[in-house]
Amino acid sequence: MNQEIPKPLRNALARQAVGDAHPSPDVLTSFVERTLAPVESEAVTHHLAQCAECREIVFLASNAAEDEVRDGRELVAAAAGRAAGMPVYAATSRPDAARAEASRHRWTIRTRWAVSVAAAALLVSAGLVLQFRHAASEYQTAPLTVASNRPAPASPEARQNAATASSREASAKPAVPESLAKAAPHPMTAAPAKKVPEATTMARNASDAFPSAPAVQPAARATTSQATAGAAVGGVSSALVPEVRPQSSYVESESAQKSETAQSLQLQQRAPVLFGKSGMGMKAASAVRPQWRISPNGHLERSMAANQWTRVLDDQPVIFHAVAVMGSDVWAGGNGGALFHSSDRGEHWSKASLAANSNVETGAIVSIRFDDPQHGVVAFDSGTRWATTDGGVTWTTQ
Amino acid sequence: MIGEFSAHHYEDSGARQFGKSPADLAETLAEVVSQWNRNNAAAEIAVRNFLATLRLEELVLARACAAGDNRAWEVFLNRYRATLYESAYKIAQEESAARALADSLYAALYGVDAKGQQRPSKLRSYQGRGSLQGWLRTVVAQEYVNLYRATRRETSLDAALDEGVQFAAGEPDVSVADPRAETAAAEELAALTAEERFLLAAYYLDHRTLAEIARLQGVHESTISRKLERVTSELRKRIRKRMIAAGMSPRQAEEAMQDVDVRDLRVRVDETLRQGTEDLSFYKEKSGNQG
Repeated sequence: MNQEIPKPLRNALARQAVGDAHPSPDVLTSFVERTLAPVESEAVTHHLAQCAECREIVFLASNAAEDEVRDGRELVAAAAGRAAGMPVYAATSRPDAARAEASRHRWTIRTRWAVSVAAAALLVSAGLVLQFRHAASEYQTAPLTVASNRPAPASPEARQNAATASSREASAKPAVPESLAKAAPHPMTAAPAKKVPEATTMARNASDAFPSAPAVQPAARATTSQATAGAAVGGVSSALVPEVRPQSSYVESESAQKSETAQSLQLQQRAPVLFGKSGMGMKAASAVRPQWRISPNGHLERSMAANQWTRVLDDQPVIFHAVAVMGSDVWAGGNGGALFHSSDRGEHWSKASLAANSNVETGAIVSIRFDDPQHGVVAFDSGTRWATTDGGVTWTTQ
Repeated sequence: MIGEFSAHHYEDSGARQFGKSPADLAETLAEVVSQWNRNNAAAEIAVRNFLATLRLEELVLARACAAGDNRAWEVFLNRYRATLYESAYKIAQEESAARALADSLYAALYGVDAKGQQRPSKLRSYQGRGSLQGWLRTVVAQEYVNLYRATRRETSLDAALDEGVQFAAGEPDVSVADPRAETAAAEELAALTAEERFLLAAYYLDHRTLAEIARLQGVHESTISRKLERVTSELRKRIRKRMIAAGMSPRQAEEAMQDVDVRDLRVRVDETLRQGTEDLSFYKEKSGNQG
């Protein structure tokens, strides 16, 4: 790009007059966040064209915001290191940074334990495989918990770990080979996918489904936990139940579901081998639980890792104001009465329409609250509230 | 309408946890609306839309902090103090300056001046129009510009020379041989849209990169590049045409349109192109220090 302009033009540009008033920080912030009304935005642009100081401010603020998004936790940590003697700016004081930092420490410890326990469990599994090969018919009918409770030809510590894990959560994580698991399905592993508010239960069609931005890695998704019911507005519930990917009848074929469900089950079965204890597998799964937020620009964003946010539903011309998460169900609402629902943590979306007597609600959704997957309330800027008691199949005004 | 809005959103705003009633919330909202709608010209639907865009929860938090609510300060510090420091460091790019900047701003937010005297908290001026986090970045940037401006005035010549500061000539060379060229350029520049003039100023005067401008506008930098190419190209043609129409020969016009390196430019504010902006309702009066 040419850095030069004609001399008369340069002079005219430099001689533009600045008015006596500057936009307030609030207005400049809204300008940077692109949330100003068009008329005001035009007026601010007009001022910025003339005022070098305000241009400096908006560019500094914009660059700082971009750096924070880009550098995330690393910059916070580096800044904290440099800021010895600046006590009020402790990096880990920010809740998300603190959580990320604590999570990283926990993971370091867990990884050490997991490696040693996994090695021991591997030996146990190898021994079991050999024994299973000699007595396959016997194990086909035997409860799988027996298999996981078998004495392991390993160290006493490993045996104790295996026994503890088996007695505590044996049914959730049987440490058996895939072939045996298929031959003798455990009641837990063979159970159908956990019932969640199905995509098909809402009034929707294939054209309403919006594939979101970059998909999650299959392995991560397979180990992601299914959140339990509980109040979770704008956040994420704690996850304790192994996830089997919800069926999505309008997107995937049945065979694809079966294939993926089988893959998911296989990964679950490997979990004890990978993590030693099923409990650790559960905690590992919680680490890839997506987080949701509405960006300052009104974009819906999802994070699968600390401070790595990806915009979702970016093809929708909607300024989002609210997002609510209930297990794998995500609800997001914004301007124009736009209400979107995903039953698979944002992989696929459908648009819900709130209407009564053919009058479609077109206000801005400012709040979404779900107390459980079935019961939720959506509030509009006009004060109107819509409630559902069936996971969004039907809505009524309050 | 504001009372109704306040009543509907009272629970969502978090005002209750800071001991604020719906009436208190309505009072705050009325104040924010009156600041925005100074001439009282906005229609009811416009006010309603404006209210819907407000960051209610953050506004309530900021006002509670400004009122000295300890619980609010606890929430505020947990959420935003890291942002404050990060912003200060990224903007100042130097530790001691960042510390001074953040300290200064913290005092202002807390409602204490440099001498330890009580004064209204800067958080009181937050109107909830943008995110509180974004607002903090903006006030950090504003404080930096103010501090930098003040520091520059106090910097001695020797110190500046030690730092390698290059002083421009006493009078910037912004004159051209023929005033008709100046007039033609000024008139054509004034005919541009605000966005086009902003792009030209940011790129050619401030030397902002295409990426920075694109980020601010939320578009790809190739879009900015194309716009700049188009605007400068058309401007060249129009200015040249206007100069010729004013009686200059084509050769004279070509000479007057010689490119210069804008990095040698010093900005000089002139009243000749004053374009009124004072009556815009969202502007506030300029004081000694901006903001």
